Amino acid sequence: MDSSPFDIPELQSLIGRYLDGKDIKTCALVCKTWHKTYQPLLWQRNRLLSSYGATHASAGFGDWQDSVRRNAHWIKDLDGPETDKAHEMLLSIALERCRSLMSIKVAATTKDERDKWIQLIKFNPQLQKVAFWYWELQGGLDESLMVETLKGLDKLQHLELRTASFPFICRILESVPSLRELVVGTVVTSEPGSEDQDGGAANKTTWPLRSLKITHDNSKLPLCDLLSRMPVLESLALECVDEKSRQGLTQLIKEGRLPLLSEISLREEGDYTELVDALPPQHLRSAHLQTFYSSTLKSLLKNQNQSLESLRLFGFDDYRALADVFYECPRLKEFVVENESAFEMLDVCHLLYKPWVCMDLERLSVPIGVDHGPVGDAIAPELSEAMAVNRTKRSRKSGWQLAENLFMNRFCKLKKLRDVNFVIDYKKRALSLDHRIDAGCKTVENRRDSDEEESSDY
Amino acid sequence: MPITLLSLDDVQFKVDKEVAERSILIKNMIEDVGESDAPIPLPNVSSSVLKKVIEYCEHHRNDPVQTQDETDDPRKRSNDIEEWDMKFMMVDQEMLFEIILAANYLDIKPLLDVGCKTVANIIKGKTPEEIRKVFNIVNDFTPEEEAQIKKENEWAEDR
Repeated sequence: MDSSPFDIPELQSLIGRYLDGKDIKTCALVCKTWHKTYQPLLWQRNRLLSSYGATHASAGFGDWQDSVRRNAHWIKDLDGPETDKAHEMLLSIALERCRSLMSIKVAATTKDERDKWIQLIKFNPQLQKVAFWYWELQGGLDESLMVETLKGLDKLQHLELRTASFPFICRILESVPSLRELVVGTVVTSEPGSEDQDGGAANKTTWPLRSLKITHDNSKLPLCDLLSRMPVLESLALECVDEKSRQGLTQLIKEGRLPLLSEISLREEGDYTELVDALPPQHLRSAHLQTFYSSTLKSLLKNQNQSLESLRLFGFDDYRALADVFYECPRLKEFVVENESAFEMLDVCHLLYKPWVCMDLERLSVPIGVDHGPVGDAIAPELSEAMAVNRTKRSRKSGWQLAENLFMNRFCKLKKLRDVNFVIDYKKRALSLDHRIDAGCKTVENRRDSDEEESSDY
Repeated sequence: MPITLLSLDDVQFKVDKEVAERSILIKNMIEDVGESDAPIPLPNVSSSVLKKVIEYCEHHRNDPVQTQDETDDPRKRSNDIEEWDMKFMMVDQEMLFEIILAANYLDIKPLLDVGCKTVANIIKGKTPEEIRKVFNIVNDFTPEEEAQIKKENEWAEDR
């Protein structure tokens, strides 16, 4: 029996799995036996970036090229979206050497480039992830060639395309049954002359897609036709959700045809109350919605409060209603509110009415602050108690300070918080709070500076 | 029914079946051979190491069976060792290596993982020279070879 685990390559690799790149680099220098194990480990983790060469060009482009050439066969993850000097070189090295790629992210602008990347994809039938970006690609993508290429990837799970037509999407889903996640930038009208304009609507097979994301424009997508063929869809992200598709989507949910849908990101302004109402109770894990309808938030808090882990609201301005999120959502990890108007905020006083339950919060980006209105009127119970104790000092100013202190006490108890971005105050008083914020979390990006600028125009 | 295990140096250990079956190798052997009083010979494991391994299996006898996580992020954390395991692994280097080799041979994945994490923690943050010293490894590179590797790997990302 061997006397040391270092003599057994499998054990050595197992140890390597617990090391980071820096330590692995060191290990490759220990001795020849170690080098044999750690050299591949190091480069397997390396994403081969085209911009990498450019970044280091001053230190010797030729050296970089040699080094990449010598180690390219280990690389699993090719990430080369930039078009620069290194891009072309990278493409030729990859074509020549890379045969164990698991993930590839590439961009093409010319037909020649497109064909080379397609060749590279063909050389790597074990690919699990393909992201293909193309801008003003001469001669177009050639959908048939693309479908033919992707057909050969029987482990492909994740596909990203810059543009795609509805029939093209259907053909891909038909041809690549292993696909679980599809990301499309813009849905375009189909290439002229391509057959099968309706995406084979007559053929009602279903596809096991889990995640569909359209990042830019899906207005040309017959949404419900497509979604009705995705019975196991879990995550849906859309930029365009007009009245008709909102109703169609709501109907599909009502009929129970998207039973696993638990993550939604719908980025067109609208009233999503009916849609949220249609979801099975306590089922939604993630809701990212563009809406100013308080009723949508109310429905979320009523029916999904126990399951929600991520809530992002865009353009929402009923700040008072936001306080309920702190009181109702025990599993929430992320809470983000983005609004054009930098002058509105959730007053800390409203956050003192009930105990918070969101103790798992990791990311909080909500405009929270001290409104300079009177604190005394509809006063939170906790605050009124504290003010009674300090009755002698009672004034508007001490009221704000007390509210701030009470808020910070609660805030510092959110032990899992890693990422925070909120307004405490437009005026300089925020400074005094900095050290207390630091006590509660690691990173604080206070929006104080930008807010000062904006309030000066006001 | 207790199972008897026989170490390399002919020492017998009586253990409960569920404890012995933490080892996938032994579990498969029992399944293949059927119930039997005959001791199971483990010709690769010495009694001092087998005693340690049994101690681990006794402590973890009720742990749920680990699910396969091959598809996981290849980079794993080594700072999540349980306190008991951490103390269990406070042994000299020879014993640490023996435990890892035994866990590998006996196919006890959680023990193998803890062992590898412990070794990874020893490696972390050290220079090549310090690593050689700790593990008593001879540097068989020429200075030129060493410089060449350094230069070549300069381009690899530190992730």
